[in-house]
Parts: sequence; C-alpha cells; structure tokens
Amino acid sequence: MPDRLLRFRRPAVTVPESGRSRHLDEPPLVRAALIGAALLFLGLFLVLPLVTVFVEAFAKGLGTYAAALSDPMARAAIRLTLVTAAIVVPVNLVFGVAAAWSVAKFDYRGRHLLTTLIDLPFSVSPVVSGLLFVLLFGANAALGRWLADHDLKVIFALPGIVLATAFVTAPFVARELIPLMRAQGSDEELAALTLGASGWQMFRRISLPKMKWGLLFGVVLCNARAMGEFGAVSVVSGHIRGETTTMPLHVEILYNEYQLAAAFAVASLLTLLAVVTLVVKAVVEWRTHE
Amino acid sequence: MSIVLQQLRKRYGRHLVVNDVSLEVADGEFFVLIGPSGSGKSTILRLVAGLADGDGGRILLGGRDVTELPPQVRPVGLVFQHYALFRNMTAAENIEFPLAIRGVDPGERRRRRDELLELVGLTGLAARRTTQLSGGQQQRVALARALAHKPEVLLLDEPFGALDAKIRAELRRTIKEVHRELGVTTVFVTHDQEEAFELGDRIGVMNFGRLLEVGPPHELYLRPHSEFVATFLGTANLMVGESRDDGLHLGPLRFPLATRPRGSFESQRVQLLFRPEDVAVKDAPEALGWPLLGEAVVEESGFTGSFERLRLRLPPIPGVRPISPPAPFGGDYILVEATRSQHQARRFPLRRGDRAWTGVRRIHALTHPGLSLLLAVDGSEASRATLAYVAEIARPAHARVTVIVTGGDDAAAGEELQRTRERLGAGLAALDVRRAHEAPLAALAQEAALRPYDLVVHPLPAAGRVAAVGELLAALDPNLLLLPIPVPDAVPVRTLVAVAIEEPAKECIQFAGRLGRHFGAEATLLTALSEGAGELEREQAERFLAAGMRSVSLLGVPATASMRAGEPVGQVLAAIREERPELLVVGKRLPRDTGAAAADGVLGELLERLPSLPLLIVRTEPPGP
Repeated sequence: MPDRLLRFRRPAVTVPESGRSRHLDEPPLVRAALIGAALLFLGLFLVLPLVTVFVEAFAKGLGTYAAALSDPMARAAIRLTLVTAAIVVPVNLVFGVAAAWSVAKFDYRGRHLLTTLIDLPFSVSPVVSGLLFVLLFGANAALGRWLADHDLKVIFALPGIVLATAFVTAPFVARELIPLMRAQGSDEELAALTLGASGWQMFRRISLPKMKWGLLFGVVLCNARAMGEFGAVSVVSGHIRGETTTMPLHVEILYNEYQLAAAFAVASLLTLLAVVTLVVKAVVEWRTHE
Repeated sequence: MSIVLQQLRKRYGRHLVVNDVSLEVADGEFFVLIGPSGSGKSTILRLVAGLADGDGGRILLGGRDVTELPPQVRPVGLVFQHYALFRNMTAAENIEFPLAIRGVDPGERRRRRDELLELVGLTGLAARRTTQLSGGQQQRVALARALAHKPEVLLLDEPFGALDAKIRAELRRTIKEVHRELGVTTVFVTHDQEEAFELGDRIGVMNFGRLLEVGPPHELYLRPHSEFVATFLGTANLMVGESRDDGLHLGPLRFPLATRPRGSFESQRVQLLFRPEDVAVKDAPEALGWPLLGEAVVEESGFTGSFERLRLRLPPIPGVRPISPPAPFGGDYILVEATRSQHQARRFPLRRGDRAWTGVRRIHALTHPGLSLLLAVDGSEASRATLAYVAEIARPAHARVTVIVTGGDDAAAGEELQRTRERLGAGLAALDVRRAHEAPLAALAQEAALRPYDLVVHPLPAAGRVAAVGELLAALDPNLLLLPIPVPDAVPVRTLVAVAIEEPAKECIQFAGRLGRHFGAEATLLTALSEGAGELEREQAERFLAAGMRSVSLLGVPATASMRAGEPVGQVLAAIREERPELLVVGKRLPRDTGAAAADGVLGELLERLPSLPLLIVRTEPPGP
C-alpha cells in the first residue's frame, strides 16, 4: 500500500522490486534446485496427466471424439450434470453468502461452532455423505417409505443427486467469503447507512461489489466440484444409464467397458472445466491485487 | 441546540463505556471530544449516528428525539478514522452516493459534487478511483461525502488518526475552513490535545466513559477542576499545597485567592497547578520578580523547535507534596517542568547540572465537585481488598480519593505507598496517598477534620461490630461504607435502600442515588410498616416512596419501591435474602462533632444480624433543639 502511494504521488521514482539486501537471498545453486524441483513435480504430476487426457481423447481421431460426445448416453450424462449444477450452484451461492455474512459480520455465542459446521462437508468422505442420504431417504428409512408412498423418488433419482452434490459443495462460497469479509470490515456498510442507504441498497451497492471477486471465485470452485463430484453422487445415483449417471459416473462406466477413447473424450470436457477454473482464479487474483 | 445528550449510557457486559453523559452542543458550534483511547468518546459518536444502541438516556438532534430512530433518517454525516470510502467507486461516485440514494437528478448531483470537491480542495480529482488517492485525499473525499446530503450535524471520529503530521496540519486547516463556510454543527473526536485546542470552540474531556469537564480550550487549560484534566491537557506541575484565608500557599509562596475552594475550613490542603510556561528561571533571585520557589538544578534540557523544555530539580519544600511530575520512588526532591522561548534560552543558556533560581508566575487551585473518598490501608489483606473495591467504585465515579498508609515500619509503608499508587492508577479526579504514624482511626479522623469527605470506606469488623462501628461513627463525620471480609470484587449494582430504619430517609435516598448513578446501579426502596399500621400511615408511606423513586430516577438510577409489614430489621433481612442486593443503604441520625455517637437502636440490631454485605450508613444531623 505505501509503495503504491509513493509511486502514485511521484511517478518518476521507481520502487525496487525488493528492498532486501542481496545477502539475504539464497545462493543461486539452492535457488535453481528449489525451482527445478517444483517444476519437475508440477510437470510429472499435473501437466503430464492433463496432456494425456487430451492426447488419449483424440487418439482415434476427431470423428471418434465427436461420436463419443454425441452418444445419447453421454448427452444424457452431460445434461444431468448441467441440470444438477444449475440447481446446486445458485442454492449454495445464497447459502454461502448468508452463512459468511452471519459468521463474519455478527458476534454471538456459537459463532465459532457455526464456522466449524460450515466446513463439515469437507471433513466427511464424499462416500459417507452419499450414504447419509441413502440412510435418510432410502427404502429402509421411515422418511424414504413415506416418500415412496407418496410416489416421490429421492434416492436413485435427480433429487438425491442434487441433495448429495449440494451437501458436498456447500462450503465453497462461504469459505471464500468469510476471510474476505473479515479483512474488509464493515466500515463501508456503516458509512452507507449513515448516508441514508437502506439495508438492501447497502447490500446491493456496497457489500456485493466489495465481495464480487471472492464470490465469483467461490462460485467457480463450487461449480467445478458440483460437476466433478463422484463419490457422493455414485452412492445415491444407482448408476442407471441414461437416467442417473452424471459425467464422472459415465466416464467410469465407459472406462470399465474398455471404451478408452470415449471415456477420455468425456473426461476431457471435465478437464476443460478445470482449466477454465484455473483461468478464472488467475483473473480474480489479478483483479483483486489491482 | 443542535445536539442534546441526556444521561446517555452504554454498557458492554458490566462495563459502562459511556457513563451518564449529558451534553449540549449549540448550533454551528465546533465541539471537540478528547480522552485517552477506550474512554468512550467514539462510542458517543456512534450512539449519535445511530450505529450503536444506548442502554439509557436520550439523544436530540435539532430538537427532535432521535434515540429510537435508525441511522438512515438521522440528520448526521459521519467521517470514519479509516475513511470507509466505497472502494468500488470513484471519488465522484462516493460523494454523489448520498444524493443518488435520495433520487437527486444527475445534473444537480454533479453540481453539488463539484462544489464539494472545490470546498475540500480536490478539484480535478473527481474521476480518480479511491485506491489512487493518498490518505489525506481519501479523507477529504470522505469529508465531502459526509456533507453531500447537507446533514445538520457533522461527526468526525479521529479523522486524522492514520495520517502523518504535515497532512494532519493541512487537513486541520481544511476542516476549519469547511466549518467556517458551512457553519455546520460539528463534533470532532480526537486524542490529540493540539488538535483539540486548535479546532474546538469548546472541548469536552472524557475518561472511563464519563464526560469530566466541558469548556473553552483556554479555560480547561488554565482552570481545570480535576487532576485528570489538569494532567491530560498539556504538561502540568501539580502539587499539594494549602489554602488559607489569606491565599494559596505553596511552601514559601503565597498567591492571593481568586476563588475560594469548597468547604469552610480554616486551612485545607488543595491541589495547585502551574503550567511549564508559568515557571520563570533566572540567574539571581532578585532578577525574578515572581514568587520564588527556590534554587533548582537542571535535570534535563531539550530543544523542541520553537521553545526549550527544562526539567528542574528542587530541594524538598516543607508542606508541599508533588503529584505531577511524580517524584521517583525514594527521591525526596521536587521536579518541575518549565519551558522557555528560544530567545530566553539564548540569553541565559542552561545545561544539565546548571543551577538556576526558579519562580512561579501564576497558580490555580483545583476544585473538584465530585465525590470524595477516604480510607486507610495498613498492609493487611483486608485493607488491600478494601483498596481494590475503592478503585472499582472511584474510577467510574471520577472520585477524589485519599489513602492514608498506617502501621508497619517506614520501609514497608513506603512500599505500600508505591503499591497503592500503582493500584489506583490514573483516571481519578485526584489521588492523594500519604503516610501517617498514628493509629488508623486517629489518622482518618485527623484527615476528615482537615478536608470535606463524602465517604469513609472501612472493613466491617467480624466481631464486636456494634462497638467498633460505634467508635467509627463517633470519630468520623462523613458517611460510612463498611465492607465485609472477604470484600466483594465488583461494583454494587443492585442497591437496597432501607428507609424504614429511621427518619433521615430523604438524605439516605439521595446519597444512594448520587453514588449509584456512577455505576449504573438500580435501587429498591424498602419501607416496613408495623403490623398494626392504619390506612393513613400506609398512604403516607406510599407517597413518600413515590417521591423517593422520582428523586432517584432523576439522578439516572432506576428505582422500584417495596413495602413490607412487620418488624423493620426482620423485614430488611428478609428482603436481603430475597433480592440479593450488593449494597445495603441505611440512614442514621447522629450529631456531628460531639463524639456522642453510637451504633445503637435499629442500626445496632441490624449490625448484629447482617449477612456478608457492604453497608452504607448515611448520617444526618438531628433537628435543632
């Protein structure tokens, strides 16, 4: 902050990248070794698999790739995944903002407990989360039987998939927003109130713009996980092809049937999502530092 | 009146951060609230702006009661210490925000925004994002924004706290100009006395949630009432001297008396204040022309730019005890702070170790109108616990406290003296800690005869209470607060005033209110009627209780009344069991100065049966013969 002010007020002065003494820097050899190790690791475990996915996907040519994606089962899986994400992401967006607001802006008993609870889905294995819903809504549970009597299907159907996905992806938005809101404080909101803004005007014109980048990043992460979630969805979906298989489940089925090119073709779509997420993350970080 | 605060109160837990603050700020006035951090000054601004809810009292802005109104509709503009600019907007959008909210049309908005930018000296920077502005420029935008909707009252919460000295001086000028131009009523919170002096039409000094003194800058600087204000605003030389019929005495110095301190004592100790610039320093006593304090040795001399600071060391003066600057532990000399102009310093240069004759041009006696407490400590556990309790009640009450250290050898007493000072610390109207060689009761009696006190605090003896309390009542004129052992560790909030005990109920209720208002106490007024009381007596008691409740509530202490039938002492004890008060107040009609007092009658009976509970005995004189 002071650096920027200085630069702003006296444009002629250039501030050195680092004001540290060169004696504090590591020897060149150590530096090279550290950077090399990091790059090697990244290449081996991240870039190589990523490249492999696309290479394998296009191994049998563009035609096979297109055919794999236009297969009715694949299209059903893509549609189901998009529908699930379209329901889950907005719900978790609202939940995340509300939860973050209540944790970061108010002080009350049990606030810390709430913070811990928000993180709960992260600390539970997704498979267990899925099982939880089977136990709650399955045919053996009272609630499940009651639902069945009223011809409502939750488990092995879209509602179950949405519930499990929503549970697993619940913390993303809140976790992005809580530290951001804490760091930003409430002075601007209070200022808006003293200047005559109503609660809604304050939220829309001050709070929302303040948190928009954090919010966007939370949504992107939430979306990536909602589309890519395997464990919890696998338990509740029942793997009915063309009906309750999402993209990750479809990839597994194809893979198990040795349709490698098709499996990798669908997987490449999911990977593309990861790349988009990374790009958005980079943009958001660049914008927030701006 | 633009701003009226009436008995404003704000509590966090048991802690009163704003304690019974009443204040009136006139139309167009520039009022500065100053105090150390945590003294409650910013909380008052937040209460006025509506960003915090008070726990009592009323706020009037422009004659309208806004206590219950939300911040949006209060006619207030608030400037925050850390600017609180909207970071997603430009300077112009920030300033236009309150107008956009109110639906003002864009043309009018632009006109008003340009007008304000010019007023705060930022013409041409309208399009800048807030992150592209320096700290000083950001605060100027914040000031313009707070004024955009033409509020009746402008509140500034330590607006220069995050800025460097030069920018502060520039902004001070801008704020002064803005105030002159617009004439908007302004309340400015700061902990910087230079700022307060330069800006304020009037200054209010706060400490521990209380508004201690209010007045024009020079008045507070030259004629403060309390030790805290004297030492907080500027550098003070504060000593205990004597006030006699012929004037104020500081050792060999005599100053004619302007105003006579409270009380009708022939000679009483007073705190005397003289400022560093009132100290004259010359090379010969005859050159001084002012009352002479003595020959001093220069301890320290420092260059501060426009003037020179000296710290002078004087030999002890009989009858004079320094308070500020404090004498170092074990030192028996007096330190005096002095300042000289550079011109004077050049004519008579002084270095560390040089000798100089020292005189005083002007002196002021502090007159503290608040509560005054007296107690003795002897190094015992009980007396230390009593001291801790006194500290708890004296701080919120901003009381004058005198502690007499008795018993033990001189070294132990010296240590006790030091420890007592540390424990009571700053924040009292005045603190006087002295050594006495007499027995505690004799020392207390001697002190109480020298100066007026409202209250003597004393541990309640475990055995032989009636005789011991009788002795205390006979020896001491002030009211008596008796503390049980172990001493409770919190200020008394629930107060039971037993007006059934004896006649002097009015004084008793009033004193309970005077004491309790300082720590947000609530009072129950209890009266006991005999079983066979008639309708007439009952009505009379009811009327009396209603009047008592009114007068206590007027002091800011919420009160309830309770009437019981039966024998008085038994009823008081029953009420204590049921209501668990933290203080019991009783009245006792006793002759003063005759030594003929005893804890007899109902009081004696109560003392014998009293459970572990602080007891306040309010005494009044019997009707004349």
